[in-house]
Amino acid sequence: MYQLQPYRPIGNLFNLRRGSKRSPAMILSIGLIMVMWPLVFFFGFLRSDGGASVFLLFGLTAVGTIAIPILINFGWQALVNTRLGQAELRVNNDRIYRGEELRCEFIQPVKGRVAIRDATIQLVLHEWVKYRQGTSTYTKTHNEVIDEMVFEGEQKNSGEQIWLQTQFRIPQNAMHNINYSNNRLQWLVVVKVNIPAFPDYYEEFALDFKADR
Amino acid sequence: MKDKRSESVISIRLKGLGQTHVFNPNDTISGVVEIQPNSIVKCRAVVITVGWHTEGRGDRNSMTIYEDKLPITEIYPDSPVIHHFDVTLPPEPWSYAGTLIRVVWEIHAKVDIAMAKDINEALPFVLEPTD
Repeated sequence: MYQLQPYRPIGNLFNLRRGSKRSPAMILSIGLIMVMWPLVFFFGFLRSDGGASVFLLFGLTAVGTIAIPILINFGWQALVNTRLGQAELRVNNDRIYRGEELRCEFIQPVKGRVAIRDATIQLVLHEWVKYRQGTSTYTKTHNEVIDEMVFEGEQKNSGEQIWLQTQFRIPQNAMHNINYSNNRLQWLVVVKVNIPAFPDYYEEFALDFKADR
Repeated sequence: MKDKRSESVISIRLKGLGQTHVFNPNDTISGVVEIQPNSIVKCRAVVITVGWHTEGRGDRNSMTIYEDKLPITEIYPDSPVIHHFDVTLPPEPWSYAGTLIRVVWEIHAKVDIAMAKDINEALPFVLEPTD
């Protein structure tokens, strides 16, 4: 069995999505930098006689738009980490191809008592595009769910582990991964663990699908 | 938009194939480009290319794997240009039609005319493993 790595596309290195696990030190560092930056404006506000409101405005805007979401995300992940340990996704083959079977095994230690409502493992073809409109650049994504397995909920206690196992068949007409500057295709295994009144666990794992076998 | 002039001027035909135009990776694609204008055409060159490009929501990515620039400056109705080509296709990318992205392969012929609209014709084909 091979262990898959979480998908970390460029442009979303911090993957600021609910329940995802990132290096807490990295996210905390960026959050602190973003908090320190507006303080420069704040001290400028204290020292200046004229134009003080401009300093304050820029400072508060920076805090509101950048730092707070990062810190909330950090807190969210810290909350998830109190109940769930580091997840692993193992597959029978780290390279997939048309018509082949992909067996998946998801294992996640439980640190505290959790009641899982349900869990899902999906085989997904992820499309990513970048385009210019006027002077701005935009990106757009689409997840095509090829197949999925939904697991019923259950109670887990500290020391136990979430263990999910399923298998998928790669379609006979499947396309390989592509990675061009404006257009990308990436095969993923997506795992969602739904816990009531608690942040969900959500993670994407990249599959290697090359044109040549 | 399709250039109406090209309908009677340029034709691209593939050898040994029906209407499917499906090729495996690493196959050789062979064909002929024939240019027969209704009247004399003065041009800078005739350019024949084989390549792929993306279509859809994202900006375009493309690659030309074969280009032949013929140094032709005049094409006469009674003396058509006939050019044969043999191109070995690469292993990727395969043709694809998704929600945001399409990958399109085509053979393209262009009569490059100075200070006027070029005459273009394209023949799309599919590159994907069939075995």
